[in-house]
Amino acid sequence: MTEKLKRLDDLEDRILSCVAVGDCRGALKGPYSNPFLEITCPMRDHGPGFEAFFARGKFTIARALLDGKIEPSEGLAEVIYQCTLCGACREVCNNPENPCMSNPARESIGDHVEIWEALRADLVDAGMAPLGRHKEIFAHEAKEHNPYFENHNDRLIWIPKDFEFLPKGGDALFFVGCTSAYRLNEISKTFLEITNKAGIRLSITADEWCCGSINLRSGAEDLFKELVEHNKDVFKKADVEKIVVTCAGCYKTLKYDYPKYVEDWDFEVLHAIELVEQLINQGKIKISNKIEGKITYHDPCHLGRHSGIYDAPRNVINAIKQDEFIEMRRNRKYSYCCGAGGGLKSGFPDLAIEIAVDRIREAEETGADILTTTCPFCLNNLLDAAKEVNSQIKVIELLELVNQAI
Amino acid sequence: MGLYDELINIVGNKYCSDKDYICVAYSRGLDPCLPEIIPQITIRPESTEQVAEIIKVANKYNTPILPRGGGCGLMGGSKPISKDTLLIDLTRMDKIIDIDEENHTVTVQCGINWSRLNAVLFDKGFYTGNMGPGSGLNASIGGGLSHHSGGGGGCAKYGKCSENCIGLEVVIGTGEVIRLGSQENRYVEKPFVRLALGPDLMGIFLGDNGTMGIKTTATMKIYPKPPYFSGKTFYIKEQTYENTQKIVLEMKKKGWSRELGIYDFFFTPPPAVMGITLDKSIETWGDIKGGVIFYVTEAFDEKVLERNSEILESIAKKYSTRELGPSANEGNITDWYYGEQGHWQVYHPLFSVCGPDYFACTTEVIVPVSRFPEILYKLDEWEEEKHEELLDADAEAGTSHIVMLNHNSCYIGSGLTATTDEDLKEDVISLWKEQFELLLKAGGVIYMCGQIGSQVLIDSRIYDERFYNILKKVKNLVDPNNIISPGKFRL
Repeated sequence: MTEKLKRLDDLEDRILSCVAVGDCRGALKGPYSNPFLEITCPMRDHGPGFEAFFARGKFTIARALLDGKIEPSEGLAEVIYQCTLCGACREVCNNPENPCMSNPARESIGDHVEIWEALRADLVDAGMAPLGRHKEIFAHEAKEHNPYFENHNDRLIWIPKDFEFLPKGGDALFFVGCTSAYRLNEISKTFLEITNKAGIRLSITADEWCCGSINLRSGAEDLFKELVEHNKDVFKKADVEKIVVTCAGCYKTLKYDYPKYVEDWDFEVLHAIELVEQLINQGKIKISNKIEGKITYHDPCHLGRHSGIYDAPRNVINAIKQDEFIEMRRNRKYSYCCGAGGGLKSGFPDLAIEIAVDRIREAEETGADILTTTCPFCLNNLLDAAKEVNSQIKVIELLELVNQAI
Repeated sequence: MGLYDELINIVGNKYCSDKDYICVAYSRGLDPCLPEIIPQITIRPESTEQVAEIIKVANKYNTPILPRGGGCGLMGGSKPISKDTLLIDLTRMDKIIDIDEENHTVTVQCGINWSRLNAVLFDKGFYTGNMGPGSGLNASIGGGLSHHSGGGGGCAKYGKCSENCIGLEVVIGTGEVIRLGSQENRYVEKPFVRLALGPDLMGIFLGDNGTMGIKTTATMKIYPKPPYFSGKTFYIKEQTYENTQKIVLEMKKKGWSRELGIYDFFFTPPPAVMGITLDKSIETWGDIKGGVIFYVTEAFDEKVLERNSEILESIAKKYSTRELGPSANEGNITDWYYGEQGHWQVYHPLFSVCGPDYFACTTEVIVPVSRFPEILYKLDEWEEEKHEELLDADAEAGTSHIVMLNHNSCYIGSGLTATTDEDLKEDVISLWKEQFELLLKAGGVIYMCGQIGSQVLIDSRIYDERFYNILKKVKNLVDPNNIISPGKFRL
């Protein structure tokens, strides 16, 4: 082991816990009479399909690096970054649904995604990563604090001129996030409209920087720490207890990653859809115009598998739907990834769309008219994929459906 | 143009790699201590034609080949033996070619895994009977047929998976493609029977541990899946070997699967039960000390099932201490495995019960039902005798399960749980071989051999010399340059 592989070394016990049965490669799970999962890893049918692209192979690679059998290389980084970090491998590891028997290997490994992130961070330290496109993004982020090659000062230009928001305080701070700020502004505007109608007072700060999700997922831990340090101060100055986000990536990062890096982190982090569910339950949002057409829902990995938020979006859909809500074959913790995460959309855009096309096809199989989700990053990739294959299914953010229903 | 370039010409750049970070992932199987050798090239063909071309190229460069399916081998069968190995990852060949619902057959590319195949069959009211190895849901049909696998369900009724194979397409060591079974008749369009048309040459390729050729397409029998089943779990406190044997022999006398519809019958001996209960792996078993049996019977008619269940239960009750059940919450694990899941993929989670870095060195053998208690006692004695050596090697010996087969025999799932610690590997391998030798000399027969088992057969002079000579001649006939899996069986 070299100093360059410090993070992997710290995780050695977990890495060695992989029994190598290879279910992560794409085994079927669930009753044979009604399988809920045939393919786990999006890389099974996309890309060359070598073992190195699946969890079992990556565990073997991690062991080989620690044992000095192979050295970190740029080629290795190319492989390791062809992963959406969706975490499906963890969910299917060693027959997880078994009510009769506990699974020591699965429990010892813990969260697979943490190990893939550590591997990436070690590859960065070894000088073999990030990949070219990510390097450009990070260089821009270091200057302008967003990954979209936009100016920091333009972060809030999407806000309608006549819209009044608080610079601090209120019921919660709305952490807009980069995708909603610079690309899919409709999501953030819609969220403001909904909260306005419900009488919720939100503060928004122009000082927010990227949450750092892409940096952490791509191994750029130093830059991530800078972003965390800055945002922490911004949050403290905002004089709020609650932070609300519309992006599943921001949600996971603020809720589960920030506390690992900030000692006295005591903010409550809510996803917008959780807040909307609360508002519906409290009667603060009245549904007067139910949405017509069959609806299906895509679980964003960061919100679902990584954070366990499955019911809130479904409860909201059930509250606003006129017709049927139909689950896709792979849903909740066995949901298929949209293909955008883990830096894949920026690093391997064609691959990301290929994966998303699978998800569009799965949504079409349900017979739904509408495919909704509640993450701008997923939405963006699913929209790209729907366009790519000329799909007739309407892909729309759940918040927008809610706003239409109010 | 060299080997690598010629291979790329066959499958394209995308599916062939000589990079260490790609190939290293194929250096590993499920055993903890056989050497992990990185193959020089890994290739992923999609068709029989490509496999044939690859073998021709390998011959040209005198390069050893190792076929690999799901990579679930427990005895090093899917791990390269030498650094110059060209590893053929067959998992891209995973298509279902034909399901013949009238003639009850399915034809598949051999890289498909058992779980996906059976999910498709379940949908049509069929199953493969033997549900493949207990090697996880990822194990391939080709791997199963190469090892006479069982344990994933259905052994008591349908025997080993290779017993259900009726058609095989194999690329032999010369790159020639041959079809075995009814398709030996060139006028037969679809495979439907194995034993016909003269000698059964298919047998050469079943259980060959990937040495005689590369299986590319297989036709398996399929069976209508009975709609009714009943499963029971019983605890046997004392004389567990003998009492289990009495139960099995009596059930066999009354007709076993033919009359009583028995689909599976497992016995977990006391030390394994203790391991399970100490670790609370199966919490519903509480802290029982003794053996546990569980069986499943299936039927097409509810009344037949009721009758058979009563007969089986009365036999089991006669020799057991008490029933664990009837519900899953009370310890009856059959409802979930057979009823809910449709298979018995129970083993692999148990391999790691000792914590990280400890895995199984398996020594599974088939023995007649009449002898399994005697063999289990021999294993117990061996463990006692080797106590110090096992301790020094940081290993534990034990038997996790005994699975009844369809006629007169059962297989004993014995072995060691050992560490991956480099310094101890030699000691572990030595003990592993010793246990194999013990079992083979006691009259057991191994079915999945991999590297280590196949080599013990030769090194410990288990094979009758005349047989081994014939085996070598057959190998020379189908693989004259000895490029397919060299080293196994010391070939």
